[in-house]
Amino acid sequence: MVDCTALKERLPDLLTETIDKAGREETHRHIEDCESCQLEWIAYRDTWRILGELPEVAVPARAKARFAAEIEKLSPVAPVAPVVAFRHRPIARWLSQAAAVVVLVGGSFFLGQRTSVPEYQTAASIDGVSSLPFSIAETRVLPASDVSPEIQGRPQIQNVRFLEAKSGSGDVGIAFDVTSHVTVTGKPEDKSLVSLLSYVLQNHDNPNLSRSDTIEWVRETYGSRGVADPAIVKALANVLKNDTHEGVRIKAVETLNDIPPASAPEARLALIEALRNDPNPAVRIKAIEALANLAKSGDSYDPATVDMLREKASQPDENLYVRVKAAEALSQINL
Amino acid sequence: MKPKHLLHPALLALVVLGLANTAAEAQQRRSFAQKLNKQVAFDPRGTLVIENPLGAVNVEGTSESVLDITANWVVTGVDDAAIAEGRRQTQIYLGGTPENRLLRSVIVQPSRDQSWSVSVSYFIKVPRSVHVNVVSRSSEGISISRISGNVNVRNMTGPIHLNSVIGLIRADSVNGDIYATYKLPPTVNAILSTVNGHIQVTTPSDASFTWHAETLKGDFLTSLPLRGGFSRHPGATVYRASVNGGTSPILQTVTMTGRVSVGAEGLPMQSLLASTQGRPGSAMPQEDVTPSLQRVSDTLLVQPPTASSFVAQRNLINGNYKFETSLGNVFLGEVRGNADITTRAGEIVIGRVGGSCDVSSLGGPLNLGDIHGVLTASTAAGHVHVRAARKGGSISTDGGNVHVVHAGGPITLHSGGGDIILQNATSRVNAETKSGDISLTLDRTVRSQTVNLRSVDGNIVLNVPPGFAADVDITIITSSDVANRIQSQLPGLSIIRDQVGGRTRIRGVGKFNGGGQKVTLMAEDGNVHVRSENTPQMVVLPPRQ
Repeated sequence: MVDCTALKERLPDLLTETIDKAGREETHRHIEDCESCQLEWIAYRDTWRILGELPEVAVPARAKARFAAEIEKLSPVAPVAPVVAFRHRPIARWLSQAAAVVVLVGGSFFLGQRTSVPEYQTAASIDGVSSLPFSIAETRVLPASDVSPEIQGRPQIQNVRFLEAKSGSGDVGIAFDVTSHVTVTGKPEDKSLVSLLSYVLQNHDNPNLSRSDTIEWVRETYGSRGVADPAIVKALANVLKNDTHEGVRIKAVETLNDIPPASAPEARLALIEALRNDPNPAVRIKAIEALANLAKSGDSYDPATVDMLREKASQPDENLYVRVKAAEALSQINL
Repeated sequence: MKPKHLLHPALLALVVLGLANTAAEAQQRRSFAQKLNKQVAFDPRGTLVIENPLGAVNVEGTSESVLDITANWVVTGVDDAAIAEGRRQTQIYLGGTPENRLLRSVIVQPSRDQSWSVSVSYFIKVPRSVHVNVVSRSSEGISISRISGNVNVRNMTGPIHLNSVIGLIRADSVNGDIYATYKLPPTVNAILSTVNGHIQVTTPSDASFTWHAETLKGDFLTSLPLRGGFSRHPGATVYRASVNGGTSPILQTVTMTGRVSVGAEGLPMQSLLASTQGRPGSAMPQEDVTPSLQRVSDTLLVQPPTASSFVAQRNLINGNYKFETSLGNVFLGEVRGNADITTRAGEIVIGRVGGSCDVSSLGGPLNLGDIHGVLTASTAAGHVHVRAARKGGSISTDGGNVHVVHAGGPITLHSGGGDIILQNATSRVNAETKSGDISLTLDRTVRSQTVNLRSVDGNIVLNVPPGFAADVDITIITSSDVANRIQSQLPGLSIIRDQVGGRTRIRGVGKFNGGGQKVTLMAEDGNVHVRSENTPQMVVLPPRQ
């Protein structure tokens, strides 16, 4: 196993992806096992990311012209000798260079943390290009004019394919998969956030975060609010209906029980379905509690809820505790 | 000295003001009443269907071939507009043919702001031989008298009275009581069922029939001579008896939480549960346990009990104790011998058991304090909390969390869906959850121990002392080769990644501190984290009081 000093020397290579496969695997393993190297790696990665996100400042035209003039002056000079005499670089110079790098990186990091994106008095605008909302899509075809020429950070681009020019238009194409990290911020009731959350709830292929954690977040975020979006309720209902894990289904019922009853029809249907068909008695008991709460808080008598509770209370082969809970729930329903 | 129990003057003023306001509001509500009468021809072999969501229904059989309906329609509202709205939203409909008549009162759109309410009460005379079906929600009462046809009644609340109904009866209520009175011995079957109400059947003293009775929480009372009993399986809730030696018809009475009484008028009733052998199971011991419950909850339990009433409640039992009930919660402060408790539905709360402890619920939480012997605890649904299983044992729930503070012997934990937390273990541990996290901390004195943890859709966190030695085999099965990972604060693991059935398998195999007992950790779609820290010494219980 590599030691920490050797590993830290490899971190820049790992960051720029110039390390060989075996070395990369070994380095990653060490990072997984070593807390200090892990912290170092995270700091490197964040610094790199922040550097990538810093706004590019345009070079003033006057400075650019002066630089061009200097180059111009150098170009007609006699050919440079192919051999450059070796000159020993004093240690002080190395130190000053290293210090400059540290100051640059540290300062950038500090600025990145402390400063927000500057608000310009006059907003920059590009005429002739319509602003389309960012959409999260599985596949997308974009005209080159809608894509910024600037590539931010180092996104992973894979499965690249080149598309030949179409006859007539002369347009070519590059197709690829890109992995990028997106943060969407907004109010919990924003339609885009609701839609995204519903998708995450129902299409769980992210092992970074268990579905239980997602449901818990929904419960904390929407439980205390006056109204929960029907899309969230529908997504929870689907989880309750389709998830194979009892623990996840129990959490889905608890969340449906906690969120406001404004979207009651969807929630009620899902709970009735769970009470009728869920194989786990704990899920059925939670469904009864939630249905009783809905019936108490609802503004109208719901015959389907009462019928289901009545059926469960009288069902001879049902778990006795479920039957008792159903009877208790019925006794609490006010008309 | 001023008496302390008197209300503060300001509070008193508020109460008076509130009462005055309520009275004023009550006075402000106005009513509109209208009496409607209609007579139509009705075939004596016909069927009458009545649907009346709110209000009383009285049906009486006569010898006329006429359907005579009197409806009292009352609308109450906060003002004239509300009353007008209530009238607009209520419709009374009479239709059908002379063979099949339908009478319906419909509230098209119920009042959402409670500004008005409506009630329609029917007094109906029908040919005696017709069949009668009544559906109601909140009836002030349903009464069917002198009908020789079949009667079918269904409501949510409000009593159902059936007097001298000769035909087949089916009455079904949720929270209402059912009263059936036979002037003559019943000749056809009757099914009377209510979820939370009581059932009372009055027959002549010489009536002979078969009686099937069921109640979960209530009692059976009778004044008639009968022979019967519960079926033999434990927890049976159905009582079958032959009354006066009869075999037919069958009178079926079912109530979940209410009481069933069947007998002749004027004769004293006797409880079937109190007499003879009663329901299979034990008697129901009762003691005042209020102080004990509080002390046990404060000092021995991990969580306060959710139940507040118990079918069996004892403070202290010197010796062994066995109890079985079909329904109800159980509280035992301390059992100095072995405890063997079973409930088919309910919570079990025990403070301390000196010997072995075997508790089982087919549905309900288990809340146990200090168990000195081997513990066997299982429930079909509900959380399980245990303060100390000093000799280990096995704990299982089909749905819910398992939380054990201390296990002093080999222990097996299972959850059909929920988290498992074992805060301090000194011996072998097996734990499995079908969906949830597992967190296990081994005692600081443990140098090597067998551990087998398996989690689906959850993470595993294993806390071990720094010098812990083991042969380790950690497996993660995941759909992403980058998301889930194995983290270990103890060195010695080699990580291998491969593909199995289209999923990524990450294995961490090796030895901690030179190797020892086998530690097997397996997580599907979750992380595994092995921590090694000097945990503080655990004090399982406060000093005995």
